[in-house]
Amino acid sequence: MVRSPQDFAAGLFVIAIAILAWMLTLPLPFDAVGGVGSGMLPKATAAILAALGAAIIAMSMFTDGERLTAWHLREMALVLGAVIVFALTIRGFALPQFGLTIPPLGLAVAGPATILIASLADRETKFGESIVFAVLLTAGCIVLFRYVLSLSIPVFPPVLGY
Amino acid sequence: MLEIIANLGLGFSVAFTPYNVLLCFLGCLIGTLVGVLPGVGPIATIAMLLPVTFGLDPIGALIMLSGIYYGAQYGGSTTAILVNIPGEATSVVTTLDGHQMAKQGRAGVALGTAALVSFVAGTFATLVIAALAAPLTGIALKFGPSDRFALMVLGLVFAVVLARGSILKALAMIVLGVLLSTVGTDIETGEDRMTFGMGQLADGIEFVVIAMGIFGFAEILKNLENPEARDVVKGAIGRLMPSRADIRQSAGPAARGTLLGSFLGILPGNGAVLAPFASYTLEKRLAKDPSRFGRGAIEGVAGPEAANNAGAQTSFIPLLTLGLPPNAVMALMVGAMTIHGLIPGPQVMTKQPELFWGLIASMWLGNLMLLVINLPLVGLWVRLLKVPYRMMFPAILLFCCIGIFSIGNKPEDVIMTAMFGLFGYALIKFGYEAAPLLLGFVLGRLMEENLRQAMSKAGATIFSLVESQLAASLLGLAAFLLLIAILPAVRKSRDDVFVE
Repeated sequence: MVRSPQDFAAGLFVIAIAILAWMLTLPLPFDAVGGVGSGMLPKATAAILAALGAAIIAMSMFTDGERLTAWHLREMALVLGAVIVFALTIRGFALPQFGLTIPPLGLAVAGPATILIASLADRETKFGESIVFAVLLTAGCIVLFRYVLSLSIPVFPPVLGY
Repeated sequence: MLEIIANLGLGFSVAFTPYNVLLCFLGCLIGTLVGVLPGVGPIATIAMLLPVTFGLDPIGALIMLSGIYYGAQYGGSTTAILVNIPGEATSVVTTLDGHQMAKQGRAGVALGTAALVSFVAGTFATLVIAALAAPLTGIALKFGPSDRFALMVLGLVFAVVLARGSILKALAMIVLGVLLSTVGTDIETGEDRMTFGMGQLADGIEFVVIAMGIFGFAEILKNLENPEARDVVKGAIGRLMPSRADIRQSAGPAARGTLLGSFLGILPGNGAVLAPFASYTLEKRLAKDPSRFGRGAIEGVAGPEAANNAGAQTSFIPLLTLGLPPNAVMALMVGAMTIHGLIPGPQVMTKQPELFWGLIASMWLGNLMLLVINLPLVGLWVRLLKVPYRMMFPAILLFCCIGIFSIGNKPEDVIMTAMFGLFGYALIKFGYEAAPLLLGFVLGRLMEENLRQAMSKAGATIFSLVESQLAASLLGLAAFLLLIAILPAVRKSRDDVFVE
């Protein structure tokens, strides 16, 4: 009987990672002429990790622990999605798999987009407030990073002559 | 003694240029500004502010970073006192009596006491560092690769023993961190390891990517899920200066806390995390009337805060002399230093003395700044505490995105960080602490390097690792510690320490 579902799942999680790492490093030699081969540390740690995972699973049978809680998929998708949108738009991105090329839009577009998408993750968000906030914060970031700290982050789409 | 003065003199001549003083000031200011936001701990603060230092020269960047570090630490104490939310494990203790004092209308005195004792403790710890740096570096330079490897193992074991919650899970996180550190092209053989054929993984996983993904993005997801009840102190902050009676009550605890923290911080494991707990327990034992503790006893703020700050500072010693980060925050500092082309370790002091002593002098300067800028700005911090989370987290998110992008102008890094955000969220869901992972990740590369050097001698076997007496005893100590930590009796008393 599993008495600590969270630990049970936690054990499975690290075992899965260990197996993945083991498979990926399978062709790498464990030892080499010079002593330590490129496969030694990854394989050794993967093996130890799997053993620890097994021990965590074993313990979950004997001690009471936390239950598993639901993943908040909506918040997760919005927050991490906002980050991906930033990555794709900041200086353009080619996605040949989808036959897509996203033009470079710069911080002036990527910034507000990121903030607005992320804001949706909180149900208390008021849309009007978020728009004002997004514009002000982006302007602040542009001044700070581009002009005060002079980082070479793209600010405007090149169409605007910048 | 004369040497220490000469060295500190060199350090202050570097740190006290107007430009560097300004950087230290700005670092402390923005460090506190971000650190004071509830739900943003020191690790997230430093990771987020890292890009601000990118354009600076290495000395300036380090000085600003240590300012950010102290600001972030102090910000944690401020939220502990005013909102009852500890920024990190070491300010948990401050919530006990600090927040009670605040509820009794003595928030100002609690904040003032915390700042004053932190300054005194920081000054003492600076002297400790200055005195120990040279001899310890001398010892460290004599260490062979197997000794360093053994020392890192010991450090990781310490971190496990001192981690909160399940020891097995903390161990798993450290091992996972080491595993992640092996991703990328093998430096010696040029073979690809676990890169999925992706070019951007060839150089390994960027440290900041992991730190921001797990401590920035995943924390946001966690906070969105459990909106914390913010118990912001209502009413006046009151006067900041402790009265004469307050000072009399605080002096003893502060002195003892300083000594305790300075000592524990030096340990190559994460000893600093114990310091405030140990100080609180000690003061409670020594007190004439222990029942006052937990009800706003000023000793319960003065002792742990002094211990906290002294430990936070002396934990630079293993980093600067041995190149071993003792905890996740220091691991982040290693990442930051590496970005500026500096590999922490015994060579720094011998090869770049002005940088080394400048950094140490700037630690003291940082403590002074905290005292000078934070107390007058308490009102501003209180107002910041009231910023609703729905505005805070998109701003944090954007800052992180800009920061990661700026490391190498690579959008792929930003996508990778989002992946690590997902990974960090999974860790939270499975009840794993992420701090040991970060430590394992940073130490993993160093460990492999030293392991290789130790094993590269002709005829080396696994037993060559314990040929040196020092390495053997360090590894033995590590095994012993791990063994007793797993024993049920010790585990129980360890849990008790953290419960208090």
